[in-house]
Amino acid sequence: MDTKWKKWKVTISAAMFVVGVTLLLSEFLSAARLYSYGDMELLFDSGDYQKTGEFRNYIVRRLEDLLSAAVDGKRWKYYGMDDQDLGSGLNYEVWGADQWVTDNGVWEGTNNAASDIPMEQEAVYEAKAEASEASGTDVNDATGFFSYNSDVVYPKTLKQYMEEMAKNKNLRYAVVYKKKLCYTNIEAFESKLGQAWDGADFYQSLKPEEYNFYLWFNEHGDGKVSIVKDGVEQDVYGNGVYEDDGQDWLVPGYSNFSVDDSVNDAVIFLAAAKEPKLYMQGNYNEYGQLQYGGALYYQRQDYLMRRRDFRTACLWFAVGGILLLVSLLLHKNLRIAKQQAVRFLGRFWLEGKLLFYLLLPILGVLMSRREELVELDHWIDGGYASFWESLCFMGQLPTVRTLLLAGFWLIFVIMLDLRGNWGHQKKPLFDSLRMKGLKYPLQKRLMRRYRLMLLSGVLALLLCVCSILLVFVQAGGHETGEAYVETLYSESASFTDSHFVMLLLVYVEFGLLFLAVLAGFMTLKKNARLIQDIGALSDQIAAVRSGDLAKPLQLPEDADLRQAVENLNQIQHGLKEALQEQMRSERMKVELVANVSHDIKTPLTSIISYVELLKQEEHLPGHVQEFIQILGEKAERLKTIVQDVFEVSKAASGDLPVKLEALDLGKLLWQTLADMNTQIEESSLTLRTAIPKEPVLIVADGQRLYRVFQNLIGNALKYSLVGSRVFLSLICEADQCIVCIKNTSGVELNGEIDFTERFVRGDQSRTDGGNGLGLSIAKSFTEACGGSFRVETNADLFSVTVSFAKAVSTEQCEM
Amino acid sequence: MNECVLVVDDDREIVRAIALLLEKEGYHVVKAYDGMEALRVLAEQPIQLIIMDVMMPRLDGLSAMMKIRERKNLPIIVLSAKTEETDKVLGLSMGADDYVSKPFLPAELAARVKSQLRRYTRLGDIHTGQEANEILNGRLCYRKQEHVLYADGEPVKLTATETKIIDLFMRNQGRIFPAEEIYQRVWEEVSFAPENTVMVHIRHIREKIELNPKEPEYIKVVWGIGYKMEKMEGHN
Repeated sequence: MDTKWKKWKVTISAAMFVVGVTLLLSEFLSAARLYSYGDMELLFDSGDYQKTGEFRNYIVRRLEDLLSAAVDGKRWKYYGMDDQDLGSGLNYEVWGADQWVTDNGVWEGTNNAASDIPMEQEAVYEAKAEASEASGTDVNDATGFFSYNSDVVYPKTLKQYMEEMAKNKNLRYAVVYKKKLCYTNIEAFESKLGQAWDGADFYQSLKPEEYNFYLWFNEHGDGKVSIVKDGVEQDVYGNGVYEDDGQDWLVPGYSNFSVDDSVNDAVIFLAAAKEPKLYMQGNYNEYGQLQYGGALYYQRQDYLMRRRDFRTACLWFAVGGILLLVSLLLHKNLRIAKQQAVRFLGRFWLEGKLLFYLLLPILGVLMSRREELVELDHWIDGGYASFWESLCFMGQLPTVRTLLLAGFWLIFVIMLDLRGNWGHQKKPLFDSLRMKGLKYPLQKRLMRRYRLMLLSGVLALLLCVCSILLVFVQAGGHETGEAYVETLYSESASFTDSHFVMLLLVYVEFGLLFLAVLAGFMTLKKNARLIQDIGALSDQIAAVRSGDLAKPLQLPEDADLRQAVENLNQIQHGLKEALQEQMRSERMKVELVANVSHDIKTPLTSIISYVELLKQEEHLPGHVQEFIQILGEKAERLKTIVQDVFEVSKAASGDLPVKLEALDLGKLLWQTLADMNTQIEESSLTLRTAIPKEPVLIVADGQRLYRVFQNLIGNALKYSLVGSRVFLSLICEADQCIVCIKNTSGVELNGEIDFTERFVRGDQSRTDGGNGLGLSIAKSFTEACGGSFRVETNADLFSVTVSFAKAVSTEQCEM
Repeated sequence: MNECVLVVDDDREIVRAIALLLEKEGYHVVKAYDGMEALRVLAEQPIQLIIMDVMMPRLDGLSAMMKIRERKNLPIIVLSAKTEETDKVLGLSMGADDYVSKPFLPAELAARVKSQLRRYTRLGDIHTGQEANEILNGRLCYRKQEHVLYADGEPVKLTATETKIIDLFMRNQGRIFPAEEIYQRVWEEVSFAPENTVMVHIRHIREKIELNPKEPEYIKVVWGIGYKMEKMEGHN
């Protein structure tokens, strides 16, 4: 139960971490977007849309419009309005709002970037602006039926406009000019249109619970604006100086805002609904349905929605933060989860992971919506001035947000994988490729590597050319490529123009790549000979290693590797000389031993002969006879030693003649034992044999092999602990016949002595009665017959293993 | 027993020792110290056997032997400090009757001298024509009907089992018999571990027929296969 809970804890903390971070990031993006609309304090407020800057702008413009209408429809000059601010960014449509705008022609101007929007745009078109912005088209596409300096009046249009205004019940107004009521949409006063205004309070006829905001302009003939909201008089002018900081009401009456006299004859009343509604009119035989009063209505809805979204975002942000905090508090579990994730990632092949990591972003881009990608492209082109702006923009696009989050987690996972599994990634494909590459000779491998580099360079170059061509082709869509490039370089294209910069970059890139490929090609050409030489050198080293000492490697004088090759040749020469020297000395040694043994044998003959004569002498004292006996024995032993030394040196120089034939190793052992039977019986030892009855066929020289086992058994008999046992076994394996002789040594064994070392080279003290050549002879004879010989000591256990390969054919043994 | 033996060696002490040993055996010994001298002595005196070293000044043993062989057919025993198989073969092929490597056992040399002399003086002429009853092999002669083995013309005392083994070997010279087969044919039973028994008998036979039982010439072990009687290439 406990471990299960622990497991759960790990999973939960990991999940909390992931969800927490995801929430934090995504909600941060949305909150940032919402925050960018400003009016931050309002987002936490009661939800009074009339406190927003948008509302203020709206009222100010309406006032402006009405003033314009009051003074006989004549336009006064711009005093700093920007229609752009009205955009809510939310998707809603204003039906029919553009109907009467498009009738009046198109305002001519650039249709480039958003920053080029003409400042003189009329507030009248805000509805149109909203509509166009909402539908994603450019604000300037079909705006403006007044041009900048126009004094031309369009009574019909004005009339239309006022009719529209009248249908918007969210905004009540009354326009008095020269004491005459010109326009109003307040029902109680509609009958008095065209009549003189008696100074009646328009607000009296409105319900305060419906219209909680009203504004008077020039009520008292002072050219000033007074605003009452919820029955409370608002401070409009503050210190009396207008500051363009979004806080002040942009209305006449400031000390730095003067108006012409005609305006002083106008009195304007405006009242806004507390909760604006939509007013619609069906006109289905002409253009369907029309909406009025949408601006305020949507302004409020927009505001409320934004407030709600922001609050939700903040809430989720907080939740994410808490989750992250909790998971961080459980950091031990988090670490375990991380290790598990690393282990999980480590199970996959690196190749697959790389492919996955590469494909995922492409897949994500493919799956995202096209129009958002266009926006993204715009962003990449540097369409947004600040990071903040771009971040807000990112938060706006759900796909981009998802992509960003996915990208974040992808990078997170890759980092986790890289950090956790660095150095021990499973990459069988790469490994096998590498192993496959190793098969080729060195020069080919080096050339391949160079070629790969060059190939990728050439490919990159081609890509570069393609992208340049693409730019031209794209440009060719509206102009000829040349003309396009001309415009790119002309003053009309600023240096920051993204296409220009891109093209420039591509050119630079092309140049660099071209240089790189050229350099690579030159290097390859230059190094081709070096690579050949390296290969030749490597081959030569291999040849020297395998014993080819005859021919030195020749390289031209100016080769880079000349010195190395010379050195190798000298090594080869030295090796050759050393080898010859060694062979000569080995031959000399055999000759020396032959001569020495001959020279020893001659006097030895005399010694043995005279000892024999002495033995035959009668009447010698007992002790003299004993001495003669000893002399005889030692002479005999000297004879054996001379013979053995001769054979060992011959075997060592490889001159030992062997007559190989198929024989039964088991039988040979039995024969050897039978031959040595007397010795064995005379000793205090017990011989335990394990020799299979079946023939064990090997190919060897029987006479030599007999000497091997005679020596081994003789040694065992001579050096074993008195009364101990000697074990002789013959084991047949799949393709090996192994004879093992084990005995317990009588004297303590020194594990460091190589018992098979030759007498002629050994320097052990030889006081044990043997000549120290037994094992050496056994070893060299075994090896001369093609077997292997191994001596092992373990404490006082002395064991010799002689193994031969099994003979394949049995025919020879049938005879 | 007054056969005259010529001993030739450049080592005077060895010549002296051999002379002493052979004189004890009852031979008359003539000494020579090089090949030329040996040829001169041989021309002057009747000699029955020559013991000659190979490496000698003035005229070496092998050359001297070739000269002797041009006229005489007396047995020659070659002495040599070289023990290589090829040296032995070379010596024998150039006309030597026997080959003794230095250092030799005095008893063995004496036995070989005796064996050679016996075959030369007594048997050499007698057994020129072979009887159907006799199987010859070097020093050995086996009479099938009587089941008697002669070594250097003298009957060898063998036990019944040994005689059976000799019978088998003499009739099948050069053939290798596994111990099992020998056991089966001699004892007429099957044995599972016959090596020891067979080896004991072979050892006994060797002691009776071989000049040096430790280095047998006639009954040999073919290691890992079996036993055989070597077929000798005697030049008589």
